[in-house]
Amino acid sequence: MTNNFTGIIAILALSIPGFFINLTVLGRKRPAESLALSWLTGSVVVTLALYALNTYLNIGLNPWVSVLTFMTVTFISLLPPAGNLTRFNLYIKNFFKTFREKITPIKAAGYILTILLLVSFITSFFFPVADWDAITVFDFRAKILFNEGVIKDMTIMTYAGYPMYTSLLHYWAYLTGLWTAMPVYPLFTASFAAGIYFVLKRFLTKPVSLLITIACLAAPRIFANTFIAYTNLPYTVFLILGALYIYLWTEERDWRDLLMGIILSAATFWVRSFPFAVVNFGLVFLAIPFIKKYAKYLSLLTIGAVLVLYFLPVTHAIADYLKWAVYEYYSPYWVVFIAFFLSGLFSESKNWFWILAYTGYGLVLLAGTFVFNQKWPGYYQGIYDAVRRMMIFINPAIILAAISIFPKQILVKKDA
Amino acid sequence: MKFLTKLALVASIATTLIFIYLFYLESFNYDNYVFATLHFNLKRFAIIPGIFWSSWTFLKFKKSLKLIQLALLITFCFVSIPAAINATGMVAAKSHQILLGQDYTFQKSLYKTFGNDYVFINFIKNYLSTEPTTTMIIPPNKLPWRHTGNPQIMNSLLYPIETTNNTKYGYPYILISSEEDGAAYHLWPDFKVPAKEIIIYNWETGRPDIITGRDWNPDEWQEQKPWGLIIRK
Repeated sequence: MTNNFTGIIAILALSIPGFFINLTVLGRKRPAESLALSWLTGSVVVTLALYALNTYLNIGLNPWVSVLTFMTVTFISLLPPAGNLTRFNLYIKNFFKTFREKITPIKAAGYILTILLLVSFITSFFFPVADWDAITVFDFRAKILFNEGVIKDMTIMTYAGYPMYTSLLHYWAYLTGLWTAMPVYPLFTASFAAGIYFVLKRFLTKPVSLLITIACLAAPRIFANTFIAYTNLPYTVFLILGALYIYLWTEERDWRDLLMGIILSAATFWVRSFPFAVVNFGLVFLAIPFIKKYAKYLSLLTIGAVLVLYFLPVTHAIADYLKWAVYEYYSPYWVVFIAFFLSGLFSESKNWFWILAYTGYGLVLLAGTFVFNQKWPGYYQGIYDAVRRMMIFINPAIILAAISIFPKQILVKKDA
Repeated sequence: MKFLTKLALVASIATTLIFIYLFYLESFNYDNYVFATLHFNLKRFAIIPGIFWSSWTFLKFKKSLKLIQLALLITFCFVSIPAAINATGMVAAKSHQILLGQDYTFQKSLYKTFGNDYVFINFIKNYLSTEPTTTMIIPPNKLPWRHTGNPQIMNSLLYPIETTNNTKYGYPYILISSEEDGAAYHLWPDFKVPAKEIIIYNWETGRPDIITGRDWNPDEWQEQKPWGLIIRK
């Protein structure tokens, strides 16, 4: 029980440097978002520091070195000039005030979601790491690191080339005396929900923000991954939140959003060696008025490219396989995509960000599978479940397209 | 119309609660439990609460929302509500399991993942626990040796012992595997090995039968389908 208590504190402590880094990036006026994303940025920065220390400075990892690294990172995160946190204090006061107000159906849904996430976090302390890849790769590397303290040596015994992010988080959990590293994963789900909600709440009403958040969490396999120690959920969280901030940049042109979007998107390379974040980086250019003006034609072009690749003899087999393995499997989300696309086309929509994100991810998937097939011919056909798991982020991407469907007068907050 | 809207809401809430309970039963027991016991295809009919919520959404918002917005909300009811119900049932089941004090250990999770193969691999790990760290030769990384031939699995389960599929090395330990996962039985090693000891795992007692002074000849063992370890001369 004591181990669980220190474990909870140690795991949540990663949020401290994350919170202050976020405040520096997003500005002191956005404490809610900074808090929502604090665990994500904190965990990335601390694990990167541990990795750099061990790999480049050859310093063996042990409890003292690890805690000292955490404290140093936290200290550095506090260095940027301290601003006024009155808004944060006000936010906390308002947060507690809401409990005394009348419960509306929307508020009830928010409470249920919070309780669900909290219970998921608590229950995770009682379940072991399970499933193939988690046991043989991510968790195993953490255990070697815990015993030997050296990252370089373990590549001989495990799959080389997988980034160390989640393994270092497992290592951090074991360092605190926890018997399982599972509590790490509900924190990704909670960060995903809180991140989407608080970002959307900046320009949408609370009910719509909450509805979109619930829809994103209820997208296939997202919530279920809370209880699986794979990298698919962390990858999705960084990729989609990164895209969301880049979307804000294209709409509001606040450089802070762009910076946060790039940080979160770049962090995906620390979670998995997949290139989907290049789509996020490409979408940054939608902020250029000339490109934004022709975004509709760009969307038509990308969908045309998908259709050409589908019928092209060289890529048809792979495209057809992906249609079956991913898009049809995740039905009816592709239907929603088509509905959004057609609606945008006929309503002269100017918002093509999420349509381009969805098709962009699809094109990268197609290109990636094509390259993979050149290296290991035919192997992709047997790993359809891994492909499905890898692509769990495409459905939240299309859900977020709902932002552009509702007219501003309904969605925009009165005080925005 | 008001009566219909209220009726749809009551039906929505009622079916939501019923399906949360059914998903709770499924997660608490095992996959397909509801079908096995109640002969009810839960995954196929999980859309029922979604239908009621869609009806309620339609009746409630048909005048205040545009067609595309209404269509989106109805899609949300069909797609997201069953998933949210599933998630709630799953979390409820996990909470109940903990409250009942069910014992979950890492060993149990390994057994669940690798089945009886884990029992054998764990035996090998314990048997060699007093030996200095070494490398063991395992079967080729292909079927039928899905687990025992996979160096990543074997490395993680036998740690700190390392494993290799390369039989050219003169490492002292060679694994004996009769694993038949996904392909026909093929005893390994399928070649002769001069042996100091042959350790055969007894599946009934969980203890080793140690044979000394006899080399490994696969032809002599085909019938027994043995699992164990060869210590080379």
